[in-house]
Amino acid sequence: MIKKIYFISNNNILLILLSILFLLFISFCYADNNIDDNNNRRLLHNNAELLGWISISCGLIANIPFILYVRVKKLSVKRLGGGDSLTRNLALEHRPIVTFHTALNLIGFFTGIFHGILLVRGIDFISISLAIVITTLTVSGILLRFTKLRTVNQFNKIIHTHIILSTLLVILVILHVSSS
Amino acid sequence: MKVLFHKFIFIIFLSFTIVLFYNIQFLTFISVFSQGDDKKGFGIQERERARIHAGNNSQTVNDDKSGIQERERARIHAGNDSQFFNNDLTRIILIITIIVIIGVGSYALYKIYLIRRKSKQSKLK
Repeated sequence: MIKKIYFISNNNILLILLSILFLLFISFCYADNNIDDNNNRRLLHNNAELLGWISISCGLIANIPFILYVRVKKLSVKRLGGGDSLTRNLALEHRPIVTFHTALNLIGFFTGIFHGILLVRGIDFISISLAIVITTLTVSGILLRFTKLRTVNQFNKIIHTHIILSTLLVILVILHVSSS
Repeated sequence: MKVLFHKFIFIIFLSFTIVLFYNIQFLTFISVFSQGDDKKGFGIQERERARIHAGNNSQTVNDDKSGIQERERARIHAGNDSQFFNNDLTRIILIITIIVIIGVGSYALYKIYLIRRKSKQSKLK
């Protein structure tokens, strides 16, 4: 099913993996056992919260420009036609923009996972719902990019681009931020 | 754009480094799932134990004779209760989420079924 990673070069994958690994293992590097428990817990909580904000920021940076780009591209095709230079230039930018979208979303996803692991004690139903929706969207996005099987692509495209899931994600993020 | 992408990843990497290095006392998982700090397990059991401990007003329970402060801390901790079992509204959100995901999945499958049927019909014609 997964035949070939055809849209991200090896260097980019390395950079994405490095960013994710760096985020995951940074905590191991700065353990300070001399600080008392309360300070430790407060710092941990602050840092875990920070990871959550980084995750949300990554999501915003990755998705808002991408959605705008898709809208502008569709509009240009509709208004100017496929032969126009603007439409063609926009089409040429598609691959790097998708790469950017995927990379930042992956970083945001793993940051969110790490945030969830660190704050697993405060878990509630909203967090679980958020985790389920984010995982569904990320997995469908990864499969959408990395598979070439037509049926699987169609299935993942419908799931990944569905407005209800996107709306649900936004609502859950707002609820999660407001309830935490 | 490719060059921009590399630069962007580098900037993100750098900004993470700066932000996290400023919070230099970032902790290990060991203290998160700690066995050494407070000898507690995960959240719910921990709070339950803290609640029992806070409810137990005896002065002689604690070996380290730090009864009152410790109990006060335990009471605060128990007060900070997880919403996992208390808030019924959030359960509905989880159920809605699962229903939506199953619904969208089913819709996608149905769409694929329609497309395939259409293509089969057009082939027959």
